[in-house]
Amino acid sequence: MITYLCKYTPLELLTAMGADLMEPNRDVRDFRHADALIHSSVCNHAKILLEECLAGDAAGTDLLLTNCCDSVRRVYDTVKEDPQLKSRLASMEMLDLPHNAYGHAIDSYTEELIRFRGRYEASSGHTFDRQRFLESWKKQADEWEVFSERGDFIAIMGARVSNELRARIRDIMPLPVIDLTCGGLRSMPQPPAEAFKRSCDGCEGDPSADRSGETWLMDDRALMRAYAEALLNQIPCTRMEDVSPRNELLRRKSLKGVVYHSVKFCDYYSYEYADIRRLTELPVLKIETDYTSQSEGQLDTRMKAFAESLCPSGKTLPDSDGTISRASNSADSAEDIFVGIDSGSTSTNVAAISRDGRLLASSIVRTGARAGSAAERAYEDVRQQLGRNAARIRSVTATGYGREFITFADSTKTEISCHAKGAHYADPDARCVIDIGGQDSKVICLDEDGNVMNFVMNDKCAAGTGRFLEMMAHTLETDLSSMSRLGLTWKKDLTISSTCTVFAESEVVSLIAENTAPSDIVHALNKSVAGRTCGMVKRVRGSGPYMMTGGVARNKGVAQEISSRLGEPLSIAEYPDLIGAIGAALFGAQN
Amino acid sequence: MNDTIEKLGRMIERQLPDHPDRAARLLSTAYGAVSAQAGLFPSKRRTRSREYLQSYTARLLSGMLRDPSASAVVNIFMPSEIFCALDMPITAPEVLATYVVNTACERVFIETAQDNGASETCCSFHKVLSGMADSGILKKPAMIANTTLACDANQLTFRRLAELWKVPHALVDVPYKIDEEAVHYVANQLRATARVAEEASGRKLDPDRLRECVARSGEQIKNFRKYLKRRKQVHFTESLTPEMLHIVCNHLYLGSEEGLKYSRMLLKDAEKAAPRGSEKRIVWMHVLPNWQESIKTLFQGEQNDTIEIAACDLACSALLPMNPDEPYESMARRLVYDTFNGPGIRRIQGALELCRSQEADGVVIFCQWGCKQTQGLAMTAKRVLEAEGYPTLVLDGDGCDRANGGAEQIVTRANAFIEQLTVS
Repeated sequence: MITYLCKYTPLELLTAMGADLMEPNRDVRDFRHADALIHSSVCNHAKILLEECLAGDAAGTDLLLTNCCDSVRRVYDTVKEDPQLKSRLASMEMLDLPHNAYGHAIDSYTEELIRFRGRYEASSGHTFDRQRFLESWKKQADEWEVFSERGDFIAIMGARVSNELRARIRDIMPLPVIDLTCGGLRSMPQPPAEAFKRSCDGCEGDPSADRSGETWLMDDRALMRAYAEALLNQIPCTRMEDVSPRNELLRRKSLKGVVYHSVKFCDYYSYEYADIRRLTELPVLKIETDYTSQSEGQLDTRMKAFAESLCPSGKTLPDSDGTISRASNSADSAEDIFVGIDSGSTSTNVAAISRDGRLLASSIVRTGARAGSAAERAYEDVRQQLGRNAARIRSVTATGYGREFITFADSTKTEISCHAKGAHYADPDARCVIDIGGQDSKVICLDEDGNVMNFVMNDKCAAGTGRFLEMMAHTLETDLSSMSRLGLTWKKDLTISSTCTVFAESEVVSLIAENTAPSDIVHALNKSVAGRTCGMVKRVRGSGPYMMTGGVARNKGVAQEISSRLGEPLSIAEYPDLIGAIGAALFGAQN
Repeated sequence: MNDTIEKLGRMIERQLPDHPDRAARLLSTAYGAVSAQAGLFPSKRRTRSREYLQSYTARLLSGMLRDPSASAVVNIFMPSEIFCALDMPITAPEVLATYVVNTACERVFIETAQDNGASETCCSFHKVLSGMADSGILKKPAMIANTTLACDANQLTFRRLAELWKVPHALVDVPYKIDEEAVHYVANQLRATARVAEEASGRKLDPDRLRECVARSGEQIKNFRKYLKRRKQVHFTESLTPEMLHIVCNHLYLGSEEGLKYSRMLLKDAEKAAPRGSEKRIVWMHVLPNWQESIKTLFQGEQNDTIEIAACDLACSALLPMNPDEPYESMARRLVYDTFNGPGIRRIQGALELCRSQEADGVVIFCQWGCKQTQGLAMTAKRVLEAEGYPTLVLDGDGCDRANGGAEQIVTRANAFIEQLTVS
């Protein structure tokens, strides 16, 4: 069994020598083995390999890597220089992969493949079967051709995705999904026609001739060179010198959207995402994972919101359990009431609106440990506020992290769509919504009808969120409302340089120890939040008019800093915490 | 960092969004002043060689910020002799970013780079360079050139800068395998790089001048090897910035008259230096955070006579003889046989050799933020080096971003390591 990672690995050559192939690509619970062997800031996918070598399916196999990136090279070094670890493998080898795909680079990779083939034949006892090699190569090329002719699809691009994540994306997206990452479909061209031709006495050049006594027309080295060239000329990964063929993928008419994936600590796929955003009009969703199953909820929210934005109007997406939303079928009435519940990490917000959009009742409660119970409490509160009119509630739509736990809701919608809807309702001129909640911050671009054009969310890091401010308020021994006022009366322009919440907290502690005025510290913290938020606005190419929603919108210091960095005024929603809930209720009314 | 520098940094940050040209002039003037001060009024507390190279580097940067149109932006491993022979000034991310962080304005460039797509976990040196280009403070040079040695960040940053500036880009692919076939492959790519540089500069490369430059490189390397021999017998009162200068000089200034002059001055300084005492000696792996006062205090003999940095592996990664009659092959050999190329064990062995030749007491592996090459090797290197009797500290930090400095954590670790060495 051969364990491999890279798409430039000569898989067809290995198949022709009877090798079984395995590509470790599963999510792990944690990196308990890898973190004991290698620095934690090495690419998480490369670390998967260490996990698999130590405790997974790669143990006992032959490891065949390419010199594809710094992290893989170092994982290879780690295994090679550790006798105990090395002994867990049958053998290990690294192919020297050039960075370009022409001239000497092809010659060099050809020699590399020929040398490897010789070594593998000698060690495994298997011989190279040319017919099998060509069939395997052709099969791979056929698969690529089938893809090339297919209809509308969504592509996964960027860094490779785990098997589990790929399956989730396929479940959620409304169109067929093709994995075009470095671990996905390999774009091999067909083998040269001459490679199949044989010669024999009296029938030279006739592919259908009797095989007895025949020889191949294309010599072995020429075949290996053609193969090396085909491997190197696949749609390149971004380590290669010329990445322009990647742009061809983006020009396909049948490509309807891109889920752009990056892996924690893999830097290769960052600029390309920005370029796609800048140079194309394609809908793109950026997600980052660390090859663990953490943050599945947040990822699902983003993917569903993206799917909602791709979905043709009127079509309802399946929920995660595959059921279709249960929208009310009641007859239209001026008295109908629609309820939206936004179940966030910090608070659960409920809004009840009339069909014409008047806010009739609302409630905000702490979410606490149980999202479902908090929603029940807040909903009950709203029902009491409505009194007898509660009987006119026609639908309950849930949004936010806890939406799946609100069992009495008729339907669910992601908070991205709901915030967009709510913000557009509150201010139809708004084109860019900045929402900073408890553990999320997001920037959503809207079109003139309030549809989501583009959005970005913070990664799983508290920096720049309400939780960050809450922690800092605790360190400063103050509360959030005092903090909001303090931030407006600063005198000295300080900077908190750490972006990490934990390190920022230790900077704040040092500033307190130096007797720095709390207002100056709060202003520095506001700048830090504003810096991260405006970075997201730039990433998503947001432009005004801007609107701010979410609990942090009540913090005047933060709002002022954001506005100053954007160089434009920022409108604050009248009920900034309720915008998501109002949006959810509006979806209910629409259905 | 003193108040004046902090104020200058803030001023540059404020000017940058709306007036990048003004910010460039400010920075250029500041580096011009640094150059003049080091050149005309050298500090008596510093070595002459340091003041000389500091003055030269600051002057280069000042000029580049004013008008980079005749220069090249390269990575630190790119053989410099080609550009020297064409009179093209060059700079690299490590040089720019080190000066920028010492001017207290790196954050604005790092944030600009991240706003324009750079990954947060990418090397900060590269982010500072990208941010300077994106913000418009660094105008387009005549060309871009980089090697694939030694890290992935090169592939990303330089390709992108070439696209952004729309200037010619030469890439030298350095194979992982170390043999003469690789040398031949790299030499041919260097010839192609020279052709790109000829076109970008509008000048013809004179083969005799190239030979002269390569001969100077050979002499500079020879001098540095002599310096290293002398270094093990003497004590210097400062080492963080000089080691950074060695890194720059032994890569970026090879072939230049200034590089050669520096190596001669360095040798003289070493000859004049006080004999070593009982201080502990460290071999440092990778770049040095010379902006960080706490680290300076701990590792510089000036304030603390118990410990000093004797050598840095990045400054000594390719001290090979040069043959002026085969200039391209010589430069190619330097790249291919660099200890930073190929399997990680080569770099560890290089550090080990330095430990032995410098009679070191321990090793610090500085894991620069975003450098997977060093981070990925750190634990293996620690194990191998400690098995050979060299206590090793793995220190996470950043050579050019105060946000990743983590002063308290670094100082605690470094202090504990120093205690470990000094009691043994």
